[in-house]
Amino acid sequence: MRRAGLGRPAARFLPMKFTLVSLLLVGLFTARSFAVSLTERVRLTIEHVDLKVILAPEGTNLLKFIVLDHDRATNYFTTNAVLVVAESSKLSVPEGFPELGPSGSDLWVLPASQNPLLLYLGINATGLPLSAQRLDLFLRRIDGPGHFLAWQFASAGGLAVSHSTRDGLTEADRFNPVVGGHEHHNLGFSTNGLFTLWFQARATVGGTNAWSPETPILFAVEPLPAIPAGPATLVASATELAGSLQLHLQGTPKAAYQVERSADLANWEPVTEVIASENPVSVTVPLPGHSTQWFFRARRP
Amino acid sequence: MKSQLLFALALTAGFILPASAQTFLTSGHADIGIAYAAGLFDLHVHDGETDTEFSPPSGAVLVVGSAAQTTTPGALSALAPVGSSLWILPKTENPSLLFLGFGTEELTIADWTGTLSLSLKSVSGPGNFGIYDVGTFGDIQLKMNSADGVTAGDSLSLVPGSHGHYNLTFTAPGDYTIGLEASGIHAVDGAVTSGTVNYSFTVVPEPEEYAALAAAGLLGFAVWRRSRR
Repeated sequence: MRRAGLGRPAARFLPMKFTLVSLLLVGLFTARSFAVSLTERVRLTIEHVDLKVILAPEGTNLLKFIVLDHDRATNYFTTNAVLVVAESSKLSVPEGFPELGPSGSDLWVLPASQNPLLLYLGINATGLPLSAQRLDLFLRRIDGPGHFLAWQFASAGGLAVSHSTRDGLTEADRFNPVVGGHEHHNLGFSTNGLFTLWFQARATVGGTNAWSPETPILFAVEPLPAIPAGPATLVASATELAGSLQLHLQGTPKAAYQVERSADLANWEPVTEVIASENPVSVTVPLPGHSTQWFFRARRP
Repeated sequence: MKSQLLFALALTAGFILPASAQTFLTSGHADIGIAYAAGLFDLHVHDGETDTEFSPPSGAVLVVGSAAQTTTPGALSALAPVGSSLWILPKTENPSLLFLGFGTEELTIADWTGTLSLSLKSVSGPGNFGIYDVGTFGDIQLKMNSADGVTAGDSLSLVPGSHGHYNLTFTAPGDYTIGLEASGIHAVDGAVTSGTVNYSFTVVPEPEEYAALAAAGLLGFAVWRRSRR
């Protein structure tokens, strides 16, 4: 009896007949409920994009964030997009701006004025009725390896910092765009890596308070640190090919895995090496005839 | 005498009596818009509040309200003498003022090679006109400045399919006609240009200046009458 398996210490054994349909249904059900993985998100890199607040559903006092891609005239759920801060955005904080960081320190900046080589990210309040008042977008939480700042300069050059996680998060860390308006700020990150900023919107709509949930917005400040490859999942096809079996491996993108087989779960021999160039990636393994059962696993080499 | 008095008052009130057949945009979001079709640029004004397009743009008067008046700081000394009056339509939205942007959303980025250039070709008015941006760390980036003459360096670089804001400056109250020209390299049509297109601005002084102007007008009338006797 042949079985498909996974490498230890990350070894998990799956039944031969794996109900992919049920997995697909579960995936669809959860797609809108939970964030998709980084690799499955739409990467927004140089577009004119806005973090936009809307009333949703219309006619309620519930606020919601969406990501508006002006270049493609497309709206994304915030969980389906990653806002990329390219490595070329890295600057050094000059002297005289202690609010932005120590002089000479690195700061990755998405500027308030459009740079065709960088993401042009704005704050958009055009989705609210003009009768709405006092819109605030609070930064409630930050998950990431460094700090986040947002600032503008007045016409005559005066610095106004609207957000700084360097001194902790308070009610003062907020955008308050004009209802019906649209604005740009300089957005800074003190180091590279993945940052999740949790924003919450509040406004007065129809005389009542309107709120959004705390909404995670994912930023990828490049270069992203290398992530160690995780364990892989091996699934066998329901149909055997003559003298061989087709397996499907799902692992960390671009990571290499060694597929091994064993007739007794004690002695393992290498079969082939697979690169997770896509997910899942198919691999056909031979089934030698000197055993009636085979176990398979995938391990990091 | 009555007609002479009325004439003097009319001269004094010249700053506040509107011209005919024009729409005055005083607040809200508007754009100096650039479109392109059938081989021709279309430079216009787009009123974002009413979704109205003014083409030619002379159908709209872009009002720089009195709230825009400030005193020229040292950082902007290239635009006007430090301490002198300066009217600034800011790149960040002020609900009391017109929020004027530069819109190229009607263009498709794939149709163009690189960015477009919007050049200053002429300034007619009682003062000088300028456009500047403020960089990431507060550095002043002059884009246009008629104070040192109108040259090839007076231009904005605009990404097709996008939209941006800058600070616009005027050094004296009154009516201005600003000549702008768009140019770029179209993927099919090659190098194209709009020619000079005129935009109308009116810069409104602060109320105290209205009174001073009115007083000056009446005084001038009185002196003229006395000299006639």
